[in-house]
Amino acid sequence: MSDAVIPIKLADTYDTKKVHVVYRDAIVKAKESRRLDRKVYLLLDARAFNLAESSKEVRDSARALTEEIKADAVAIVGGDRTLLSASLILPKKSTVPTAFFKLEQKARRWLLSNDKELGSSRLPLAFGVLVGGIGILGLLGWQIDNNFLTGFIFGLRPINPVAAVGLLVMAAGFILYWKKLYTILRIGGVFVIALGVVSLLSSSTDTLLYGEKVMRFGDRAELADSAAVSFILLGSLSLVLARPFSRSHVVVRMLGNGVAASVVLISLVNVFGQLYARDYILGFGASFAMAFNLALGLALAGIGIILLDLFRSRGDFIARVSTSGWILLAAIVVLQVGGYAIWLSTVNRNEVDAKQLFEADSSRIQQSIGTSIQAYNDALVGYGGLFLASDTVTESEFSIYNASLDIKRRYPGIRSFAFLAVVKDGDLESFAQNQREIDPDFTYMRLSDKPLHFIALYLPDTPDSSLIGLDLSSVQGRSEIYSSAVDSGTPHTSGSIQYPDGAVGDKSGFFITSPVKNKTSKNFVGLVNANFNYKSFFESIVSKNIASDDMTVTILDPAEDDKLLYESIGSVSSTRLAQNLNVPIGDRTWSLASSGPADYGLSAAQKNSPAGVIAFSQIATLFFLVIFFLQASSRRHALVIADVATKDLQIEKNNILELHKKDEAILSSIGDGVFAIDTDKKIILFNEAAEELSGFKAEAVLGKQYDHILEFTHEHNGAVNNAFIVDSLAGQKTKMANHTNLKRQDGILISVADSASPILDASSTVIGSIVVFRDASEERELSRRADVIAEAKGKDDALINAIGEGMIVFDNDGRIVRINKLTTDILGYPSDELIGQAFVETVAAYNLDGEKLRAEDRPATKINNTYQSVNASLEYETKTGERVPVRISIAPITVDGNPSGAIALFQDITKERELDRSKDDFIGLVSHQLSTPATAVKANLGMIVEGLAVEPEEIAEAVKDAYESNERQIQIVQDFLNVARLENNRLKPQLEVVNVRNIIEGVLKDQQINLENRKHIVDVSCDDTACVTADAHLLSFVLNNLVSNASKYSDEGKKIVVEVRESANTYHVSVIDEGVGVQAEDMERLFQRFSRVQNDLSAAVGGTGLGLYIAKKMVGLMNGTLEVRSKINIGSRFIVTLPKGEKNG
Amino acid sequence: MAKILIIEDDPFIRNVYDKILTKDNHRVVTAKDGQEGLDAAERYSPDLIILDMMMPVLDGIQFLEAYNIKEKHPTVKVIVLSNNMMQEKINQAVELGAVNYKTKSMFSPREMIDLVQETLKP
Repeated sequence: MSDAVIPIKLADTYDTKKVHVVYRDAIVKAKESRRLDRKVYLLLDARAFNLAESSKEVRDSARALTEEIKADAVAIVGGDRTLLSASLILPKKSTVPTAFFKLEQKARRWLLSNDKELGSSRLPLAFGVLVGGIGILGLLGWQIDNNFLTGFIFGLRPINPVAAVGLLVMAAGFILYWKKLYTILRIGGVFVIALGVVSLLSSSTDTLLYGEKVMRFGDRAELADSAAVSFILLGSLSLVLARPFSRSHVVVRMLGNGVAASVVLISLVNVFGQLYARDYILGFGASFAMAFNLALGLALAGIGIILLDLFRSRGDFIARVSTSGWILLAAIVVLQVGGYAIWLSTVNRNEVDAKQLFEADSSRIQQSIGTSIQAYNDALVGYGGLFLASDTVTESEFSIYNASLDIKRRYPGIRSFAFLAVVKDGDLESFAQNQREIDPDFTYMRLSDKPLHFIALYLPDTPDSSLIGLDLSSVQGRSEIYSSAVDSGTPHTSGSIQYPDGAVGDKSGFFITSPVKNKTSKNFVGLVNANFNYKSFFESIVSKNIASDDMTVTILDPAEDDKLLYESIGSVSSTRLAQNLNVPIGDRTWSLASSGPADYGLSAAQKNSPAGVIAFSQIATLFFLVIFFLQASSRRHALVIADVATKDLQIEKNNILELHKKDEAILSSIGDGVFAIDTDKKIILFNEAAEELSGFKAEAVLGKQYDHILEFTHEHNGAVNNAFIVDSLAGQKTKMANHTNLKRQDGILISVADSASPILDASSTVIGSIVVFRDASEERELSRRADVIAEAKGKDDALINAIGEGMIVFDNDGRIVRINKLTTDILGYPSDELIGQAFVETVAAYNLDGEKLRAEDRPATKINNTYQSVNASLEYETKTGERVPVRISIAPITVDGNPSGAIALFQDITKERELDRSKDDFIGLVSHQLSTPATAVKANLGMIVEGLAVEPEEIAEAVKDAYESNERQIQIVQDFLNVARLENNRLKPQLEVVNVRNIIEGVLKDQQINLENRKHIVDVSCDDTACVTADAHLLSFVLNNLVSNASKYSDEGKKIVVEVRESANTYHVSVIDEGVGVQAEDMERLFQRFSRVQNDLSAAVGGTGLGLYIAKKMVGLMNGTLEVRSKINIGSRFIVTLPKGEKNG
Repeated sequence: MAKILIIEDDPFIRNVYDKILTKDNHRVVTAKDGQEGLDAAERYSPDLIILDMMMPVLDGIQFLEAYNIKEKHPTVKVIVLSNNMMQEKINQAVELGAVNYKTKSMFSPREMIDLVQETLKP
């Protein structure tokens, strides 16, 4: 079943039965397909289907069908009208992708290109929920005026409500994709594109929703151009991707992913920019910077599209992400969120710290200026003391005091201390006179006509001596301060003045002047000035009090129209922190303005810590991503290996399933009823024969417990008989249950024979039981017939085996069809090595001359060519290689006149042939035996006749020899006659009571001459009264023979003993010699016909080889026995045992 | 006069042949079977051997095989006598060097003498 598409023609004209058949086939096919792990695609051909006209049954069965076939995809083919109607009978399970087609070909292609994995993935759903969630939260925020929901982070720009709707549409697109509702998805795509385009063209769309509220935010709530472009791009992609089963060109795919990636990039730049570099991002302007949550939504949508494409090309890689992979991804999210939080708190803490530091520095500068001024005032007070201590303070005294102050060190920023003498206009000359007493070169210049003149007198720190004597009353701004100081008697601080000397740019400054009195005068005699340059004064203070040269400090004099007194420019231009302070200096007040950067005074580590947090979180993210991908790739590698292994296993599984199917097919085709149950006793298989026997239908019983359906009862008592099934489920081997009845569906009891065997899995665990049952009545009938046949066959066999000859039945090809037992006995082959074999090939045959017969010359072959009976004598080679002579008679078998093989009867003629041979031997022997004495007779008589014996003795000897030879001749003839008589039972013994001694004596007399010639000593040991029941002539003959033999086979002079011993009912007459003896192996032959045993004397004694044979026969006739005991070269004892004669009784 | 060895198992025939050939002035030695005949033949180096075929111990053919006329005793003449002479045996005997063969019962003492004399002729 290579084609997984199951086509079903829906038609409203079907009668329900036909529909059932068609649908049933489809269901079976679907089940098979599913069992083989194949996808099931349903192709509903609705071209001839009209819902309005179809019967309810047809509709219902069609619906039932589509529900029952759990299809992976359903395609419907038909016209517009039928599509509408057919769609109503579609399965309600919406997870099944469904599509409508007008052409069957397209439908089939669509089905076959259907991608099960994508269909089952929840990836699109997940992205739909994420993107949609952002949109919904945004809209909710607008609705309830929640800035957090609209912007996600306080202070960020809010999402535009129209953009939020755009996100919702995209989310719907994802869900539609998931539902495989591609047509609607396309509509959504068009909408999103339109939204983007309109947003670009006119900004009025931004206020379509929540217009007034949006207006409040101004351009901050606008839909950024970058977002609009993103909407257009993503909408276009959805149009492309809405063809999920087409195999897009790789370039198209790359392009699509590139577009999606650029959207993701723009969005992510916004996301991170808003988070970490808001100013910078806002610097791009409203056309680029979009709301944080909008950017997040767009980024997610773009990522989703890329992942979906990857999913299509790579399969369900999401499912392949391991737990640790998910943990890594979660860690990345945590890192980003946590990183941002830490970053934010670090930034905030730094701001606070910087501000504190800044303000502290500013106020320290302020205080430091005040403190400084106070110190100078104190120094001026000291000078006042100096002057008050005497009437006149000389220049040297002033200088010494000045030097003692160590002003450069103790009063940083001061330019000099100086003493000005206050001289009334009228006292000028006397003042000069006095001064000339000290310094004859002293001169002064009267520069004003003011009542008081301020003559520079002591200038210890000024090297320019030309200033001494300078009248400062004329200097604008100074004389007033001096006058005020003198008038008030308190120190005064000057405004800005220009010093005539000093470095360029440092001529500006101020002074503090303090009036001094002498000891006697109660008037102020002069002023002591502390002179300052602004720059060196403020620099010495500021530099000592700021933590960072980032601070910009400005000092203004409000009294002089905010004249800039001093400015120190910080090294950082960007200033976030600023402070204005007033600095009171005696009777004046300066204004101190300071400014500094946001991170004022922070250590480098503190300054860099936010960047460090970002760096850490992003680098860690990157690191995690790398680990994630490394892990994914190694996992992918492992999965590839696993896939290969899985595929192998799958193939194996399929093979097993195929085998299983075959098994099922076999089981189904079994003539016996077969059903299988699982361990829950539920029927899992029910074959056709089982259906027929039981009357139940497979579909009705499958999945149900067998004992609820099938009633097996005892034939005799009607009790339930399920034990054999129960036992088999318990693992017992095949259990038979006889004399069982099965209740058919129609209630009829049928007699069954059944058996149950456990079904074992590979580990020998019982996984069910298979029950086989059959109609036993038929079987019983069969068995009865079989008995009859067996009986007949038995008779037949008995008959054939009773035939006294070998019997072989051949078919037309000469193959053995039947043989009887004698055949196997003769040929030595067991019957199974013969039956069915070609006889002439199995058993070799030879003619009587020992030549092997060719197959075509064999009677068994000839008969099948000629159909004529054949008789032949030949030899068969037995299995052991011996040859058995047989006479065979073979005749054709004809059935209705047609040749139908042949039947051969054959006899083992071994014995016959032995008899023939022995006859030949006998004749040869007889002729030899008779001709030998005849030759001797002829030769002896010939000597006389031919005149060779002429002397009387010679003649007598020749006659005697002739006579003896003649005697021998007669004896031989007698022997032969006796043999003939014995063998023909013509020798009738005349049994009477015979005295043994008499007989012995008679025999010895007969033998006297011979015994004397051979010089034997004969001992006789016999009671006179010993009598036996015997024939006297026969007994004489026997004993004659034995005594004669004893003589013949002993050397001359040896002793011969004739001994008679009595036992209970018999006499034992023994003839004992001391002769050559008989070999043990010859004992048996001794009494056979013509068996002369070879020994040293046998040549000399001659003989017919009949004597002992005749003797034994004769003794036998007299109800006695003749036995021999012998040892080679020691002697022999022949024992005749005969019943006692009555007289001794 | 020649040295003749008679090898014959039947005592009567042996005896009467002995007498007949002695009458013809041959020096006669007898043996009652093939083995004895073989010993006698080695011992007496007869000119002629009259050999019976059917004998115990060694029969006529076996004697001829052991005696080996052709290789060892090319000058010795052997007459084979038997009452039951089969052609096969005759051929075998001739093959082994016998010069003549006769059926015993078919000839008289005089014929026997003639046969011996004829056979002894060079």
